[in-house]
Amino acid sequence: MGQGEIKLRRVVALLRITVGLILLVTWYDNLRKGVYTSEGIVDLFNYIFHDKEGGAPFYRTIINSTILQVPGLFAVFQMVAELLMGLALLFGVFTPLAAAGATLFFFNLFLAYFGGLEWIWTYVLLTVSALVVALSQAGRSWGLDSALLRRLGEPPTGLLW
Amino acid sequence: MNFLVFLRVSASWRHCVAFLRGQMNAQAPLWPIAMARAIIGVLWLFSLRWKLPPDFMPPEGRGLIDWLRLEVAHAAFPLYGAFVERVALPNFTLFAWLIFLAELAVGLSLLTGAFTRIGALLGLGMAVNLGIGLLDVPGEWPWSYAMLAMWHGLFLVTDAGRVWGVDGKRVPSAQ
Repeated sequence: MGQGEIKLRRVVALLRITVGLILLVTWYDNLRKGVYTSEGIVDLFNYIFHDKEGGAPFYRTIINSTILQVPGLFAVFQMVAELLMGLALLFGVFTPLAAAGATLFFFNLFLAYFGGLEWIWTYVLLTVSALVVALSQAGRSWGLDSALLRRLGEPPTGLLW
Repeated sequence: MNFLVFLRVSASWRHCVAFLRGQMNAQAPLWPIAMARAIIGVLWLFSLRWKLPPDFMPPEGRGLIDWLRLEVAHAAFPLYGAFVERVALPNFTLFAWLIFLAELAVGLSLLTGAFTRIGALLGLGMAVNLGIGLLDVPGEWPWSYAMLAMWHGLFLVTDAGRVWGVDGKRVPSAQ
């Protein structure tokens, strides 16, 4: 591996750690505010759709007919998923998988806030950051994926590390 | 028929996965960074919509001068607030042109990948400036500007303009 490639791997590792930190800091903040409860999820979508005027009609319909039918269940899922994604990205383990999940999560936020009062580019930045981490095996530098690679070699199926 | 479609889709998917793996394993991951560079270039150009000359105001909503006033009212650093209040606001037209031209230059540089390091350096300064100025403004999320600054730092230290960019025509990438 050349010096240029080592530098690039470290640069994307830094990006991975930053995205992981953002997820964990936000997760802790949400936990403190009670977002990961049935009422918290309903309040969150009310805030996004009404206070922030976000979400296209089709998106609101989907959320109303899915997540908001089972907000308690979704709250638990969201709490666990955000924590796992944050930890996986921070420590660089199963990075492509965790980053792919984070990309979908951030893109969902983009759709939720789209067309509203929020600065939408925040969610573009988050989505692109997670996507770049997912596409660049960012756990192989400063991450546990490098240990997995040394021990197990290239992943047998898919893009696990 | 459906089975044939399934096979075709399945083969295409496997091809895509193999392509991505090949790209990532054989080379340093520069092309995803080049993709991000172009998207962030669009971000800067898009942000010009609400600070267009001659009045630097959008048809509706906050314009550049409103944001500068917010930076003064909610200054996280008193020295910065004082600078905006005593230097930038009294010379608004000059500063508005400087900001407009700088953002235009950064946007075009990053979108096209031309003189990317210079564009990235300028963009880094602009992002840090935004982060400092808007840190305590209600409703602003500091991580947005931290990410923006980090991305420009990333473009500065990589050859982000040499893949899918004009810089690659002048100095081909090692890849």
